Amino acid sequence: MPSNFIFVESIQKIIKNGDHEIKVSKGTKISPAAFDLIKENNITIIHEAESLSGSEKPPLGAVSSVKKNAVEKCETKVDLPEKNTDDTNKSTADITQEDVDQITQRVIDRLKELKTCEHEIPDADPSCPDDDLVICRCEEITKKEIKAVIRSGINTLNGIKRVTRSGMGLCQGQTCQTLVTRILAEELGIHPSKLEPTTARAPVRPVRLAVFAGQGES
Amino acid sequence: MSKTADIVIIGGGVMGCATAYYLAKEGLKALVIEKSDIGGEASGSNGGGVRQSARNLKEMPLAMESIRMYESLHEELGMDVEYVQQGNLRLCTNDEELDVMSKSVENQKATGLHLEMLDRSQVLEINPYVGDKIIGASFCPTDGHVNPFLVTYGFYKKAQELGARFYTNEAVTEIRLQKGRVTAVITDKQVIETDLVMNAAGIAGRRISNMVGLDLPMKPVFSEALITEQFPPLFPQMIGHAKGLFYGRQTGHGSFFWGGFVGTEDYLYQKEQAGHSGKPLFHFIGPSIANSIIDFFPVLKNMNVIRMWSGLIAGMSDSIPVLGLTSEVPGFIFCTGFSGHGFGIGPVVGKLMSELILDCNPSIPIHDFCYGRFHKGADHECSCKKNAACTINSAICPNKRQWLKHI
Repeated sequence: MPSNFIFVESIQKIIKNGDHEIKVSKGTKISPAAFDLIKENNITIIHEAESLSGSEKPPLGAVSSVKKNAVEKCETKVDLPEKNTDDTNKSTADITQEDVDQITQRVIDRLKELKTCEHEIPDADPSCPDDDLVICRCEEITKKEIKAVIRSGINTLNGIKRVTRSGMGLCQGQTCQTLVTRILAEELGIHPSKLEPTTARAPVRPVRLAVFAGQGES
Repeated sequence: MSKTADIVIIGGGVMGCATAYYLAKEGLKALVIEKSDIGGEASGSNGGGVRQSARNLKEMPLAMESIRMYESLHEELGMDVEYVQQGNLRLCTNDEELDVMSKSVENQKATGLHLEMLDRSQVLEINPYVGDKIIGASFCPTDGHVNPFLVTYGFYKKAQELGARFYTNEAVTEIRLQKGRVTAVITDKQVIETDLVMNAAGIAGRRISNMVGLDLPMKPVFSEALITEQFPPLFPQMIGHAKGLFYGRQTGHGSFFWGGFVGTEDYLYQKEQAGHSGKPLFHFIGPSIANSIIDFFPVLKNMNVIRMWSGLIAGMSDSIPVLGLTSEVPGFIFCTGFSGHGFGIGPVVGKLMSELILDCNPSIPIHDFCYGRFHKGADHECSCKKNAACTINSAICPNKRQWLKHI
C-alpha cells in the first residue's frame, strides 16, 4: 500500500502555519476535499524530483524558506526576548534547532495557560481528594474511573454504564445511579435533570433462574 | 457552517469505530456520526462470541483472520478486552441435530478450520457441567469470546487519539447527491461536505441506504439476553446450540451471559388464529431462555438473574453482510447487515474497509458480500473481484473513482 496520502488535516495544518506551498513526491494521492482546500487557499503544489536521494530530504532552498516563515510568524505573534530579536539580523539559516524548540515550548505553555483559564476543569490527577471514592459499590468503581471515561468523550449514563460497569451489579444501579448522574452533570456543566436516565432493565429484583423458568418449588 | 471531511462513517458501533481506527492509523481522519452512543445498539447488546465454527463458509476467511487479530488486540488497543480463547462448544440434544452438525463440521474442515465432533463423554471431559440431554457437540478449540463493550470502546478511544472525530447523539437525516455522486451528509445538527460515505449503521443500514435510493433485503430480528450474578469460574468455553438459536458464556467478570430464542418458536410468533396478528410476544423469551439454560446446565439452576435486555439483529435475506462499493451511487460504501454474527469479525472488517477506502485493495477478497448479489444472484461474476464492486451495468466501474486524485 502506498504510504503517501494527503488529507484535509495536513492541508489545514499548512494553512494554520501560514505556508502557501506543499511538497509532494510523485505518486502521492490527494483527497478531493484536500484538493478543494488547496485550490481555495491558493496553495502551490511543488513536485519533488524523483532523483532526490531520499524523499524525506527536501531541497535546501525549501528548508530555509520554511524557517523564514517560522521566524516571521514568531516576530508578529510571540514576544521574543532580546536575544532572539538580535538573531533576526543574522541570515535565516543561522537559526538553530534550539531556538525553534524554545519558541515552540513557549507557545505550548501559553496555550496551556489559556486553556486552564477558560474552562477551569480540575485535572484528573491523584491530588483530587475524592477520586478514590467508590461510587458503584456492587462493582467497586471509583470516581476516578468514571471521570476518565467521561473525559474520553462518553457523555451519557448508558455509555458510562457500558464501559465502566457501574450500575451493572446486583443492585442494578439503585445505589450509584444518582451519584453517577451528579458526576456526569458536574463534568458536563449541566443540570442533572437534563440527563437521560439509564434504560430500565427487568427484573427489578434478582430472580432465581428456576423461578424465572417456572420451575420453582412452590 | 458546513464542515469538510474526507470520509463520513455513519454508525459508531464496532464496525464504524474499527474502520475509523484503521483509517486513522494510515492518516485518514474519519468523521463518525452516531445516533445514540458509541456501541449503543447491537455492538453493546451482543454476546461477544468470536467464532469460526458454524459460520457461513463465505465468511470463513474473515473469521480466521479475525481470530488472529483478536489474539493481539489488547496490545493494539492498549487495554484489556477480556479475550478468552478456550473454544466453542455447539451442543446437540438429538440425533437430527447431531447429523446436521456432523455434515457442517465436514464442510468447515474442508476450508481448513480445525474442529471436531465430540460424543457425550468427550464433551464431559471439556465441560463437566452439561446436562443429561446433551448427546454430543462440535468443538472448535481456537474460538472464544470477548467483552464487546471494551472492544468497541477501545477502538473508539484509539481512533479518537489518532485524530478521528466522533459526533454522538446526532442522527443523519439526508445524504445529498449531485449527478448521482455523494456530496454531503446532513444531520439534525450540521451539514458535512464529503464525497465518501460509509454505511455502518447496522440495523438502520436499510434506512441509510434508502437515503441514496438503494434498498437492502434486510429485516430486524428481535433477540433477548439475560445475565446472572457473579460466580467463580466454571467453564471458559463459548457455548452454542446446534441450530444456532442459543448461546452463552461466563464473562470475565464472573456473571453468566445467555441469549437467544431457543424454545420460543411456539410463543414468539403466536398463531394468527389465536386472535393475534402474528407479532412476537417478547415476555415469553426470557423464561424460555431460562428453561433451556436449566436443561443444558442444571448446575446454574439456583443462580439469580439480575438483568435482561433485548437487541435488534440486522438480518439479511441470505444471512451474510453487504460490504463494499456500488457503482449505482459512487461514493457510497456498504458495511452493514451482519445478521447477528458480525461482532466476531469486527476488527478484520474494519481493517478491510480501511484498505478498500484507502487503496481499493482489501487483503482478503470481499466480492462474496457485494451489493450486486441481490440483482444478479449469489454466484454471479463480479466486475471487479477484489474490490467488491459489482453493478448491474458493469461498464461503469466505481473503482476508478476520482476521490483520490493522482498527481
